[in-house]
Amino acid sequence: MNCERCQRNEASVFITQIENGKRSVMHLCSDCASKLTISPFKALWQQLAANAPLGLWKSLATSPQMQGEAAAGAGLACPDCGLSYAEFLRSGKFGCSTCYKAFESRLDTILGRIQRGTRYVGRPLAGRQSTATPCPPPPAALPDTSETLDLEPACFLSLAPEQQTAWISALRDAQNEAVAIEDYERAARCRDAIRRCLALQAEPAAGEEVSP
Amino acid sequence: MTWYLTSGPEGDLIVSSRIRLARNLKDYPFGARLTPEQGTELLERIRGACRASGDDYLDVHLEDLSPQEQLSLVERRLISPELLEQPNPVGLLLGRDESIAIMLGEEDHIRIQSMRAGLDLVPAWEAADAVARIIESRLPIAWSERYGFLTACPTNVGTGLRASVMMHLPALTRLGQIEALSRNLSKLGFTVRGYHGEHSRTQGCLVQISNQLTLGIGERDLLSDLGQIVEQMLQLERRAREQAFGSDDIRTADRVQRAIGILGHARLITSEEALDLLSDLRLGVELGLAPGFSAAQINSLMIQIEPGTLQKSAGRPLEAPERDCRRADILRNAIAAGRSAAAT
Repeated sequence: MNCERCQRNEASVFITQIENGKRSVMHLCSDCASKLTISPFKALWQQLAANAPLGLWKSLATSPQMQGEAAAGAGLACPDCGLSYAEFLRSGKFGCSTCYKAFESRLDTILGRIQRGTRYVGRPLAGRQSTATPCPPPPAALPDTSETLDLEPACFLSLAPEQQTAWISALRDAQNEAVAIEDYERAARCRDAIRRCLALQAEPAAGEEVSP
Repeated sequence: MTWYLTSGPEGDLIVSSRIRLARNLKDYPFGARLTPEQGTELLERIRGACRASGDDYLDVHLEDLSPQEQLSLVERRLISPELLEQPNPVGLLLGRDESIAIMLGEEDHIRIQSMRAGLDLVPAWEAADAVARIIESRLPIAWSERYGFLTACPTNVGTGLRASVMMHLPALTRLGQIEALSRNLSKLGFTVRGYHGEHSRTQGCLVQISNQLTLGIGERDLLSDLGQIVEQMLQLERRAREQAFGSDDIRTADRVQRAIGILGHARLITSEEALDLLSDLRLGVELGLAPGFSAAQINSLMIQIEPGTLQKSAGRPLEAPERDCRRADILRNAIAAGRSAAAT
């Protein structure tokens, strides 16, 4: 049986529609079927599409925003493996772990484009001796969420409980504002920042290794 | 239990869940820049640390395996094709039931993989993470407070965690929705790939969804996000199935029975054709139209009929026509067994 729409290809998709209690079947080829927007999908695509696009490495290295990147990092090279910043941009690969330190001044730009954030929020390294870094003094005033969404964990934990609550509620406000102007990327960053704060509150000993 | 011999949670639509964690040792260049001497030394250190952990690993010396045996490891998802292409020494430590596989000397020094049948992301991650913790506590790991686990590629830095779920989506595939799915999920930081991984086309209506983001998001949040996306895909697929092939539809029954007919009688069959027919059979299992057959059986068949695994079980290299013949034999036997199971 040929496709009802193009009358050319073999029909391989059979779509049953029920309208006003009447059942009808459409016979389509997969080409034509993919051109139809079928109602349940439409809503989902709209919902999914509400997030900001993310560049992948390939498009990133050639994207106009990155054109100035090689110039900005000119002269940077890793002292351990000798990889130059320009070579890193071309290949998309670091040569060794020291490269991260060597290119640190440029990395927030790069990582900000290909990752969710530019700071690590996963579990701590296992088996590490607790280095007991002294807590930084609590900030005199909470930063403005228009400037930063991320407080260093130690900084957040050094806040008084009511300041912690105030910071989380500032993040919630920022999230709502971002949603209102459809800046879903910022909204997602706010959401993640809130999650991190809540996790820190739930686990005040975070950073100290729990044996597996 | 070996993942491809069983079926797991949501096993009617989800074939498997996979976790991969990347770790590197500091003081050594990343994979591609290692000298052969450094590569050998590195492998020995990692093997030593894993042996000392008391866990029982099979130390697979890839260089001693035939090309067919190597390919079979790729088909069973125990190693990546890239591992075989490395210029330097590489290694593989295999947990006894194949649920844990540690690749040594790939792009990153250590890649710990954990596989589970069905939708089982968190347990799969916990299993891989337990191995990672042992390695981290025994070896000097490339790690920074700021970026977490340092990897060769900036797309893996942070948690070094890649989580993927393999789903069977025949209705969405036939309705031509996979491309739209792929476009939209990439905006959320997830990629959609075919059965054979990166760059592969969709085969047998099998689609793999995995995360792209590893920095700025914690392990559990990421797994929960992926889990939610997968749940949404399941709902979509189920709704699409009602539209594309309701279970009362004679055409769906026809499709399933035709698949059983061809698989049960063919004397020569390519792996592409077999995967497509097994997808129809799987759909039959999912809709209750194929008594005597199970998702676990289909999972196992999908691996058995792949070229490398076929040749490995034959014990010698086989040309394509010979493989097609052996593949057809395996499938005919499986269908005959399923039919007699249904009859009793």
